[in-house]
Amino acid sequence: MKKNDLILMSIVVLIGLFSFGIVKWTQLQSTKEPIAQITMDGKIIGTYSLSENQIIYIPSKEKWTNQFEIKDGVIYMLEANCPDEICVHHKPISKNGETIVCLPNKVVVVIKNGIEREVDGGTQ
Amino acid sequence: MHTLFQNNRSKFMKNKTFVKRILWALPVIIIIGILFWWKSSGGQEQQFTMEYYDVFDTVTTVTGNAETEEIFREQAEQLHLQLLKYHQLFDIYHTYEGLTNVKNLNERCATEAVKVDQELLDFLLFAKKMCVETNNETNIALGSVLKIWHDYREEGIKDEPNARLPMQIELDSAGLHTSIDNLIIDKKTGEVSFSDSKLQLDVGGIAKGYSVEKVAQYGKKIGMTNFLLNVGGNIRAVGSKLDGNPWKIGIQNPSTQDQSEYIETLEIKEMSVVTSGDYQRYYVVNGKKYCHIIDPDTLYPSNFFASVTVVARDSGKADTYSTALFNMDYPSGVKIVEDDPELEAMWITQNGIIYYSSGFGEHSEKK
Repeated sequence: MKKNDLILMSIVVLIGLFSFGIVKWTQLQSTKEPIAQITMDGKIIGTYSLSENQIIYIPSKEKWTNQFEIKDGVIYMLEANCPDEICVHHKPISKNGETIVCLPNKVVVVIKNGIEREVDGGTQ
Repeated sequence: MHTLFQNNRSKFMKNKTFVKRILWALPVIIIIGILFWWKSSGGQEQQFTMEYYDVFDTVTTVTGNAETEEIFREQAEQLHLQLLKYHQLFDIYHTYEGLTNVKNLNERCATEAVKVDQELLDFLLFAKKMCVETNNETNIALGSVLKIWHDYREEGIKDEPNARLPMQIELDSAGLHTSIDNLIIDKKTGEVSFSDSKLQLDVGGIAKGYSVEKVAQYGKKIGMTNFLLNVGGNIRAVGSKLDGNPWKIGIQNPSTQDQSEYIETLEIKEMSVVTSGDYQRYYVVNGKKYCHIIDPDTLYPSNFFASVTVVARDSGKADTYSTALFNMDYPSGVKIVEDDPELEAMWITQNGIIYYSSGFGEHSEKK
């Protein structure tokens, strides 16, 4: 083993560690706190932190169409003026990519930055 | 002089090996770099999901793999267009220019024979066959009864304190006009007519599953090998996931008190999963829940189970049987499932008791 070999090896190892560090760092950057993004007819109404308890009204000409509630890290549909209320019957959500949809009012809430959901799809 | 030259030469040689070694090390460094990039980006193909909100009054997601989001978006859009076609064909509330759909049939078939295209003809034949096969437990001729419940349900949700149930006489008189035999299909001419002028079609119980199967087959035809098509919980898995593993499917937990969303997780490849449940579409009258699935035997909302899940390769069959099993007691249902090697099922009663067919466990998540 020559001195130069050692230098080379350490360079290689250092570069490896460095790139590993960068990958980890970028991963850490992308795992922020979970948020709920609410859209109506494709337009973003707002994004809300799941760690802040609150009630969110989706405004319309007649006061509101939907009311979301964020409570203890989950969000759910508290009330809606739609004819089927399927969205109100939906369970609270908190995991990445989970959605609650009020189809008649075209209101959608989707979770971002949450923990990964453990399935690829679910029945209803 | 001689030694000096040798020394110089050996120094030079040393330098040359150093350069050589660096050159040798470069590819190694590059390979390590690529490996890290690969690991962080998940390989050449990535998994993408597209969502649509305009078919079958529910949420549709297409999940699959492609090299770029662009490519995937294009493929998913093709499936979306197919779903739109079936959505319009099976719509009972709207008509579309240049298309003869189920609403057209409901309006015209009492007085004339209506020519339909092959796509609709095939579906009606399938639906009729399924009705006979399930002993009338999934019956698309139940339209006039379903319409009554639909209207009372919407009124009841709008004004919950005054929610009412339909009068028995209303249901009974509508129930007289629900025989599938009065749906006359002429395979040769492609014409459809009703031999009962009050017959109305409602294809809600099976059209979604039927369409999902057709669209999954279409996806294969255009070269999509691995994807998951989920139309409002009516799930069809084609192939496997990006890493070769099966698709993981959660079965909705019917209990509204229980916070966990799924009661069971399945692992499927090339298989459909459909659940019929009482927890999503329903209304409440005097504190009692009335779901949207109507038992053809009683003309009242079914209350044998909280949900029934069927696993079968063909999504149309899975949808048909999840409705049919929801409308019959467990002993009748389990007999049908055990006699049919293509069907597996899971029943959850309103008290939370779970029954499985003998082969259902093979689809459960391996832990």
